Amino acid sequence: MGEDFEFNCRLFVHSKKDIQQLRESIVGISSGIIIGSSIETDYMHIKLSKWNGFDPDRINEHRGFLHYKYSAEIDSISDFYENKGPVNPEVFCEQLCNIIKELREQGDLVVASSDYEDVVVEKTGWNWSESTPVHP
Amino acid sequence: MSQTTQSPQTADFSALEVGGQLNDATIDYMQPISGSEQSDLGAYLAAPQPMTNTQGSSTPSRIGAPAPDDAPLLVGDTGVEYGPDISFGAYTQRLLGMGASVPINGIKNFAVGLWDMGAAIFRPSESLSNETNFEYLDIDGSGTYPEPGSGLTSDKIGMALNASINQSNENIRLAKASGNDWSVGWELGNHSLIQATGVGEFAGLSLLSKAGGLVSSASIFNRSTRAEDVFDLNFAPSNIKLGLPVPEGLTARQFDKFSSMIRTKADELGLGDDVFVQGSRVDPYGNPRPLTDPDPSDFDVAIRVSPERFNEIINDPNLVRKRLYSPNPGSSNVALRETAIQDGRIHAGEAKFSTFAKQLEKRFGYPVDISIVRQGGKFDHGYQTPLSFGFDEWK
Repeated sequence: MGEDFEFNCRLFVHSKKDIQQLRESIVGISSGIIIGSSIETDYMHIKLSKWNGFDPDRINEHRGFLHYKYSAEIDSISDFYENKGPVNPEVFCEQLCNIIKELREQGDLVVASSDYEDVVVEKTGWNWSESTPVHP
Repeated sequence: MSQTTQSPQTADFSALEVGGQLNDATIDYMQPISGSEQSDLGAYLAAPQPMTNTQGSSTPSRIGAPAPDDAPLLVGDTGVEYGPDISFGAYTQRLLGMGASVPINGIKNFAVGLWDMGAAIFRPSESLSNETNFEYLDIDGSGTYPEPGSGLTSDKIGMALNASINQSNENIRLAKASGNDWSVGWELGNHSLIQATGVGEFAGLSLLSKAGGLVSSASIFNRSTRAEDVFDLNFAPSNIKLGLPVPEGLTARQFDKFSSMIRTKADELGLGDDVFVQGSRVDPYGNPRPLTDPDPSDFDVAIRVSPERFNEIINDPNLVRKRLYSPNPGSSNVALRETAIQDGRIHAGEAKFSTFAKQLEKRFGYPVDISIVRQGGKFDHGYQTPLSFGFDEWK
């Protein structure tokens, strides 16, 4: 995780919760706060929205995660505030993987699209790939 | 509506006829009338009740007469204001010069000018008479400022309208010069008056017909024909419709600033200037979710590029995330990239727009989504409102 580490990540989430309930779940897991349309933590800026590719009839397809109900764009909080110091990539990944794990424990389906999917696999036990397409 | 095969590019808007009269650019309609302190246009615009003064008469009683000092001012917060209550007959009279031949002739050098005029005379605005309304100081660009509390003189309003008309005309000329028929059509047909009144549509269709025979004669007299139908048939792909002039939730001035910020950003990134707002915020029949909603509707901004440019962008490390231009084989990013190519859309996160979108949200109070869409792709459809063209530039 060098200086050119790219924090930006998109989570695909499929959940029975409505968007407000899902937002509150993430706030609870990350100890974040809701500011405007986003969730902000000490390390992350999270924008949760309905995913325009949502199709409930296709979530069990090979690339079904592209049809989950929600999407969360996650970036380093330091990208949004000049007065925030640089975020440690390892701490960022730790918090991200914690969100993924806990949402899955709540019954949600979560897939991360990022440059560090190997870390997500290592810390959460699974992420989508062509060879491992089935959500645990 | 019958569809003609004539190219819109052949339309010569500068030679429009209105009411059977050709343009006469040599007449200075802002020249004060003999025995009056005001010009034809200024006096007409400043008339307190222009509709009742002139309706049904070929000699408007107030034209050429000084307006009282407390005459209501007629240019509003959006540059021009309009009222949807105007009757069909009254508006037709104005357009054809039956009730307001002097100002109509004075501005008739372009169709949009007529619409601006019509828009301006329908609703008095209190905003201009307020000395705190600084945005209208020096509205005519003359460098002079009215005394606090005095509002603006009718001449200044007239000149401001001229500036507005000239700006609209210039936009059309530029669009025509670049061969952008869609922009020509939008500039002509998406004017606020057309959006607000059925008679505006009537006028628009009539003028368009004269300009290039774009619509059938029968359709001109069919009030149920919408202006957007004209453009569906003649200017734009059939799956694109003209959105609201100003997206729901923003004032015209806010939209102007909003547009300016996005244009600047798109220009910096070399993404061109074909940018529009789409979705429920510009859908006349949409019902955008308010900010109080747990999931408020965002301003869905799309930067439209050609298929060739789209292919360049999605492979450009300076414009998109690494996980999009160079995904690890077999990863979810490969699937995401292929979907982006298939759908013709690069989302804000992948296009490095997240922080900029947040800046816009902080500035304007609404969530904003910005994406790059491929021309003719899955997301290049529905109601679209091009970004506004510089109210501040002509002020």
